[in-house]
Amino acid sequence: MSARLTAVVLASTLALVGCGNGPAKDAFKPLQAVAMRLTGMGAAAVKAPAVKAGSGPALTLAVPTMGRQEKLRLLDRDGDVAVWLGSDGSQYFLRSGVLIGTRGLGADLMSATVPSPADLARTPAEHLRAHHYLNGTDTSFVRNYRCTVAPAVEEKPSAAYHLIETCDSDVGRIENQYWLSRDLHVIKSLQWVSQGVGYAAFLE
Amino acid sequence: MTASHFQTSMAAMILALASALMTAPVTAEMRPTLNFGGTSGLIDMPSADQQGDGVLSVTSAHFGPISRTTLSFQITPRLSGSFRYTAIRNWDDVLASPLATNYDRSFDLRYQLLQETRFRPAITVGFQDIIGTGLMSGEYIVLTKQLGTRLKVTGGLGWGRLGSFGAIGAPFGPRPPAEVGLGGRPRLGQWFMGDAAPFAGVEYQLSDKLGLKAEYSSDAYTLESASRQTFDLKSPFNFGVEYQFNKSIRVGAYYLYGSEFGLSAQLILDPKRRRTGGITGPGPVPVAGRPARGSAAWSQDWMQDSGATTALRDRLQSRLTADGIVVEAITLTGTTAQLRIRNGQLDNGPQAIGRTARAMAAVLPPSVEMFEIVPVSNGVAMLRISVQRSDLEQLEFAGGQDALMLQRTEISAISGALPPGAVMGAGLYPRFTWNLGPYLKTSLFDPSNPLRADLGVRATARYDIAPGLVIAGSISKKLIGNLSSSDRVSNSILPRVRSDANIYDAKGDPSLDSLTLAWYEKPAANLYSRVTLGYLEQMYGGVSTELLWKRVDRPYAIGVEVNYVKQRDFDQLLDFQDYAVFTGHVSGYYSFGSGFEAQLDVGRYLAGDLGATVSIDRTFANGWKVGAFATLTDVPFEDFGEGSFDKGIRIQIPLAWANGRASRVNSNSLIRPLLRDGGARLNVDGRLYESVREYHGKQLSEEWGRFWR
Repeated sequence: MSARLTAVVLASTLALVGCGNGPAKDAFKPLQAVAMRLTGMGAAAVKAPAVKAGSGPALTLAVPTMGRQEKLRLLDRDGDVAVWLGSDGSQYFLRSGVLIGTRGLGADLMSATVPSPADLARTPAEHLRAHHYLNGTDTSFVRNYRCTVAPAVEEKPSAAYHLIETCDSDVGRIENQYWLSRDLHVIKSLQWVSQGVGYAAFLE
Repeated sequence: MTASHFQTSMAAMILALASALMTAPVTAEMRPTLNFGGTSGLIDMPSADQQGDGVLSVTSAHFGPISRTTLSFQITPRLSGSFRYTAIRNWDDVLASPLATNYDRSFDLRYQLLQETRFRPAITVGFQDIIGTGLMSGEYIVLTKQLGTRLKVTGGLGWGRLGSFGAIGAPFGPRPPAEVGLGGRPRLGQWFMGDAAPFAGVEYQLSDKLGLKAEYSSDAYTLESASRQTFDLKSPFNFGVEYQFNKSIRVGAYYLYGSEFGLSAQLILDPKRRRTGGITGPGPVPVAGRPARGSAAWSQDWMQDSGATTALRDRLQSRLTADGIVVEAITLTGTTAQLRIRNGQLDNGPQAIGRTARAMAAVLPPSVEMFEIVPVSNGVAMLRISVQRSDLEQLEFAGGQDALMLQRTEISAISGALPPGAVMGAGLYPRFTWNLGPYLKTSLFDPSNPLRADLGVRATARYDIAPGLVIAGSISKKLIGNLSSSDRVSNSILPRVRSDANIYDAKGDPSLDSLTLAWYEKPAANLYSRVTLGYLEQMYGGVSTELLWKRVDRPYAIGVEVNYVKQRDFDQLLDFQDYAVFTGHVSGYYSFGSGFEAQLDVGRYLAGDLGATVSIDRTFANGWKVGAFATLTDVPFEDFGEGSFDKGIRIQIPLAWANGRASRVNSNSLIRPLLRDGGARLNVDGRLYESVREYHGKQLSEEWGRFWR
């Protein structure tokens, strides 16, 4: 029974393409999407960016779980917050180099309360961190972390000051890493985004 | 440091981290699986497990001559319901019957009395086939305990069908005979009566993907095996192996009752889980800063320019087009801007409001501090969302920004009339839009062919004359299908207000699905109205009027609908038949919170019968909706016919949930076991409550997190 239905749906989607000048009411889109969802095929493509950034300083991004690696462009700077733009329109908010938000990755970090580089450099110290996310029904929830910072043990002496921020929450532990210059500027970092995205690496 | 060096060192670091932090945790809890009956269980027997809260599952299971397809919904964490369609082939092999295959519908409810703890098993009580013909009827109490990380043990006691093999006696006395009649009535007197028989089974998880099941069944299949000999039951032991493809799909192969092979497929849809994690698509435009307060840029001199409003409207529209938002009207003073918007694309209201606010911050002169955003549906203003521009600037990067913003946002009622000085959006009225696309129409549960479908093309057109005044129509032409092959003649003794559906399906090719003039208005701040005139639906034309009272800050609403309609000709062109009726309802709506909503409609139905419909829906903030309805009228069950009264299940699945892209397209399914003439309602487009509730009260605050998306 269901096989016949699937065949009908499949045949029809292949045979017919809707057109018009009004908003699409394509009855097959949801079926197609549910089929995609069930089979795990046809990953959602991301639309072209709605906003464009000029050329200027660049930041290199790597998100290993998504196989994403690219040079980001500076879209906006508001005080100590920089908004970086990916080629697909995704955005990364960094406050003095510390990640406070993403947009367009799917499981986005919506907002965060984070330490400043100066707070991080004041080791050993403890601080709190709060990450705000949306669940699968778009309802927001917060994940609170209690963190400690310690200098990393370096094999080779380095010009950069390498710190590891270890944060525990009731669902597990995350570890952010920062390489700071002498004037406490974040040169490179590896920072937790979300359960769905994992870690993102940034390099100036 | 060069980029490539960075990449190498990053890669090494990530790998190290991955091994340390991302190793798959040992799953402490085994996945709850489904049985042949589509409820949480073993192979043919139930278990005490529950699916995740809100999970919708479809199970298709087959062995020998018996096929079952079941839709189940985990209504609350402990309560679940299942609707099942069973086909038993070879029905007339040894005993005469008009049916070669016996098709049967059944409905179950299960409740978990106790949840599993470290030392205690879960205990669930289940009622199988409570209002159908009773073919599947049975009750059970079942215990399930997980031992270690891979083994689950289940044991229980069944009555009715589940007490038919290896009975240990009838603890509560004999089971009274079933009065099946027309079905549709619960048989409370039978519950837990008659013979009781134990059943048991184990489930072992070999790996993440592979599971084994074995059980001892207490179902003797008395009717199917002994009386009608559709298959040979040789043993009560069943065995199976199941394979989990991904989080949504599980398949199984089995050997049952010592004689038959079986197959099953289980689909799990979890409204709370998106494959993409969250919505994908580009980020928003950053909130533009303003020069320091008091500088020359803050002057309101721009108001002197007579073309300023029109120019700003056009700049706003060009920024909002990418998100499918249309500027319906704009009103500016030196310090306040009111923007009325249509949201044609974003599945989430707060995101449309957030994107609009950002566009306003990017375009409007610095002196404009107050943004009033008014979503409009069918030309009618829904409510006013007032946002301070400085809050937007201040909270753009603040932790917990959504809750903070909601605190500072004012949501208030608004009158329908445009404020003085309003400038309408460009090219909106009059405006002609059209679409041409495919359609699929199905007919389910006809005993001679349980699944019929037509595939064709449908042209829709819409002419917006003025705000709230719309002419809309739709024409369909069938391409292929077998809906017309149904020659079942209605045996209804009521006016045939719905039961001639198959004649409509057969003769309407091409058909004018609808052609209406609709007028939507807002007579007062909390009052919404609709008048629709014309060919309203497949079977009726006439006039439909509706009035809805709803306050933005209240969980309830009241509506009145009055219609005068005439039955359309079977060919669905312009003519009518003789039957005409006044039909209408008084409706009460109540939102209980946690997504549960109830609706009560009391009034006169299409056949002239008087009665009431109760509907209960569970809605999720992302647009998922699963609900059920039932109608009781003064038509006696005998006159209604099979099923005794009208009832059904409805499911709405948003496209955005399935593919992660913002879209307002939904897949709506209505499963009605029987469509008869009692308790039938008019289907008219544009009923008011659905469009009004989207922007009201709890709905808006639950989804508010996407304001900043």
